[in-house]
Amino acid sequence: MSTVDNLSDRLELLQGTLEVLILRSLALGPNHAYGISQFLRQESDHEFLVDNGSLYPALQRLLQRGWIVAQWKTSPNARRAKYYRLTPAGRKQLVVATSKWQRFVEAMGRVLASAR
Amino acid sequence: MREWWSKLRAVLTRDSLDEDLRAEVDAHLQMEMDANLDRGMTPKDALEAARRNFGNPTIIQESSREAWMFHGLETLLQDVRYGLRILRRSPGFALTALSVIGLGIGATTAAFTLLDHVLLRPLPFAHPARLVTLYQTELANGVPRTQTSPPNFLDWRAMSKSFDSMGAYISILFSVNLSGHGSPVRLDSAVVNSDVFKTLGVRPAAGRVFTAQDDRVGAANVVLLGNNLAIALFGDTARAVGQIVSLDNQAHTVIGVMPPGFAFPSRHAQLWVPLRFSPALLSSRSNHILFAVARLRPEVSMQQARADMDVIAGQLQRAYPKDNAHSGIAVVDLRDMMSPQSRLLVLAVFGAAFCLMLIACTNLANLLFARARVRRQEIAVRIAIGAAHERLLRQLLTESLIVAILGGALGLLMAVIATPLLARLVPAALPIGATPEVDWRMFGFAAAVTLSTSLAFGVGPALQSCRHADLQALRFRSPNGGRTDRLRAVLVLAEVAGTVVLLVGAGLLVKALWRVQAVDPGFRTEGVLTLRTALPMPKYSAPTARRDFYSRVLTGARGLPGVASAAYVSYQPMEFASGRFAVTAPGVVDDPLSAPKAIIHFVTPDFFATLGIPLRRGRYVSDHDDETAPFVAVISESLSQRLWPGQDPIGRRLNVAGLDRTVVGVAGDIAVRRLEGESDAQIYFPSEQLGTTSTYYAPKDLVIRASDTPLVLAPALTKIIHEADPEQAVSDVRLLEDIVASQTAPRRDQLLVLGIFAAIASLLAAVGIHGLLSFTVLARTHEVGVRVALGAARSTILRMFLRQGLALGAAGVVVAVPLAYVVARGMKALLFGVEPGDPLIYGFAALLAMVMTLAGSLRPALRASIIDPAITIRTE
Repeated sequence: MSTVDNLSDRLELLQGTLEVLILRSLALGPNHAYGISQFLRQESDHEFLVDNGSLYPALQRLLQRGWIVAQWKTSPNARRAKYYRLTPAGRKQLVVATSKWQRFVEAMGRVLASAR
Repeated sequence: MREWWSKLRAVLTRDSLDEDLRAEVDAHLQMEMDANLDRGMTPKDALEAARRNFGNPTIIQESSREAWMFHGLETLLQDVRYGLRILRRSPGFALTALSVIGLGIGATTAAFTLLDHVLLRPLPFAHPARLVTLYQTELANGVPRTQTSPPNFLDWRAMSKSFDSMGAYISILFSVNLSGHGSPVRLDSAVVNSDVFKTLGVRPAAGRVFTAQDDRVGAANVVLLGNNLAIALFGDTARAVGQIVSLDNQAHTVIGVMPPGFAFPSRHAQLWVPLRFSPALLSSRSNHILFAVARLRPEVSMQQARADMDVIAGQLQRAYPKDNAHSGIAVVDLRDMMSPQSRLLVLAVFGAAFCLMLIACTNLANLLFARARVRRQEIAVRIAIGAAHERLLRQLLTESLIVAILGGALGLLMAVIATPLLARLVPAALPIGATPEVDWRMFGFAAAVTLSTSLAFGVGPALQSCRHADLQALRFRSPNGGRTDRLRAVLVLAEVAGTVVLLVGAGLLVKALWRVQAVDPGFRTEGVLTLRTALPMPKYSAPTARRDFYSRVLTGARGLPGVASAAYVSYQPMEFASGRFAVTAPGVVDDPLSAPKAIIHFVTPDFFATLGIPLRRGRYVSDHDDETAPFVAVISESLSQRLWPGQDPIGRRLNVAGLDRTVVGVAGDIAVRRLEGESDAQIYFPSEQLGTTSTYYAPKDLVIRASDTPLVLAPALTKIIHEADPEQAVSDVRLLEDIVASQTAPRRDQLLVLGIFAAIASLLAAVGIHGLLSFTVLARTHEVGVRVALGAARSTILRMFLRQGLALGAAGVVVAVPLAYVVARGMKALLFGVEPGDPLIYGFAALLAMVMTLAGSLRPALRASIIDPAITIRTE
């Protein structure tokens, strides 16, 4: 669905990871959907493929869980945009998810290292 | 919870959210385009690149929307569609399940509606809990409730301190001729005093009710009309007020119209005239004609009122020992006006309906259980190809709900249809309308029971199999029924037992009905026509006027072809009996309190021949017994034995109702009030020797014995009567046969209802057994195939399955017998002396249950016997 050319080289996001990444991007300050997708692409050195078809539903889920809130604001270049902002609950969730993810990565790394 | 709320908000504000999302996507595209422009693209390229990079906005919007919604609504519709499709695909199951639920809910709802109407719902009066009826009691003579006399009533009212008000009414309704507006009609009228309306707290729909003025002797003739009657006569309640109607040829002014549904003292009352205590009425304490209705003071309890009235009864006993020596006063809740039998009957119907509902639920459980087992394979397949458990469970729930809701609708329909039938069981003695309204509370209850049954037995087992991801089921039909089959067998057994209980109940009632019908009334009913010529007074006050009328009518009637005999009687048997009078005989019984009671008739000589009442001794009354001859009486056999046991009563003297008479004959006993229960003794006087007795007892009922089809004589008889007196109204033209048959009508109604219940129960039990055995056969197909392959005969297989079904049925019967006996003893009062343990009835019920069992078992057993081993073994 995305138009990125060499699809196979990019990393597809595992389910659930996108939401953590969104929370992480918003930890720096409020941002809009376009901004979030730009941020993720740049921060991952263009490794992550952020599909808008996943991004928008993910934002809705986060809204429903009360981890983020949305507000229409004017962007620095004078465009109206919907800005998402972390709630205290979202901030807490980010800490939990980050530590969980790190444990997962470490465990994954250990297993893969021993296999080699 | 929070997520749920935000979803709910999303559903409610869906349009604005859609708008919002579209704006957001637009902004996104704009920003991407801005970035592209910064990179030096042309505006056209920048827009295209942004669009390309963004993806399909519609799909993105849709997937976002899915995140907001209860995905629910759409999925629910899908589940409902799927559920309906599944039901359509197995019409056998659908039809059985729906009719089972419908019957269960329908019967229970209808029966509860009746119960609620008769026993539970407050009576339609102001503060009904404080309303009581007062009866006189003669406990020493075994009479728990009887009428009181006007002087006693006035004393009760003056002396009691427990009541706000106390009204009196004559215990029976009078049939009156209403004329002056269209063709004359015959109506039942109640005679009540003004305090009755005050006590009940009813307001008229138009005009006014009686006041103390109307109770005074000599006041203007006034009448209150029932609502339906007023509308039928005058088209409108308000227009009725002030109209003049003629009641038995006496002008009465309509002063008011009662509200719809007003049914006091019974629902047969259509108009009300004032009760006036004339000097004649007040002269005797032995004239027992009144019932009283009273309203307790708010601070007085029923016990206190009873104690109060007991004291008064004691004082009246001492003050008037001649009439009141054994008289007490009973204070009874107004609702208990109906007989204990009526109450028992309503409870019995409810019990039967409840039994039926249990059977229906059991059956439903069985059906769903079997179905859930059969569907294990389907469910296992769906799990294997990735269906979510949650989703599966939801769908099973939806399916169960569809069945329950459709069945419930069917049940409600049945209840509405059945209610008029059940309405026949509403006792006439209660001041309530005849037709109950379908009660939503009970419908709710029945629906809840069905729903929980369908959930417990439909979803439970299926869920279990899907939780265990029963992959075995994928591979082959699991043949071992094990525990669940035993449970199903117990359910079927319970069904058979419930059926037997209902069959025994219905059977006992059938036998009781036969017994009542077999009671010899003491007179011959076939070929007897009766009609009433209510002689208006004072036109016929003179004995000569009556004699002339009787002789002209009777002579004319005898001249008609086929008429064997004709006679006049004061009141024909079963229709109306006079009061019960103490019969004293000088030197034998002098104390009226311990004297036997008898009912009196004034008759013309042919009365005995017309009704076929046999003569035991002496002679019947004759044409010579006129005013100038000695005053004579013919007594019934039982009275003769009671007064002069073993002696010849002819020539003896007796005194009854103030009349001194010489016995000239003894006639056979007849049933005067009803077929059931012991009848009162009878005394017959010649019609011409009415003497000082009230003209109330002047003969007015004509009885004719004709060869055949006596009803065709009616027009000719009317002509003869009109020749004798052109103004005389003729009413109540009926066959004596029908009058006697109407005695057993309530019993036939009871039987019809219980019989229908029992029939439905039998059917359900057969369905249950059929379902269980079909399933067993299915589960044992392989085994049977092997047996046949090894040389088992078809007949052996057939017998094997039949035996299984019959064993279940037999076990059900064994369980049911003691249960049925307990139930039968509870309904003893309805059985008219039929033994609650009547072996024949139990035998029949058991036989019928076994026949139903056999019918249910036959098809599956036959199917098992034609199993082809080649096919069944290969399927493995």
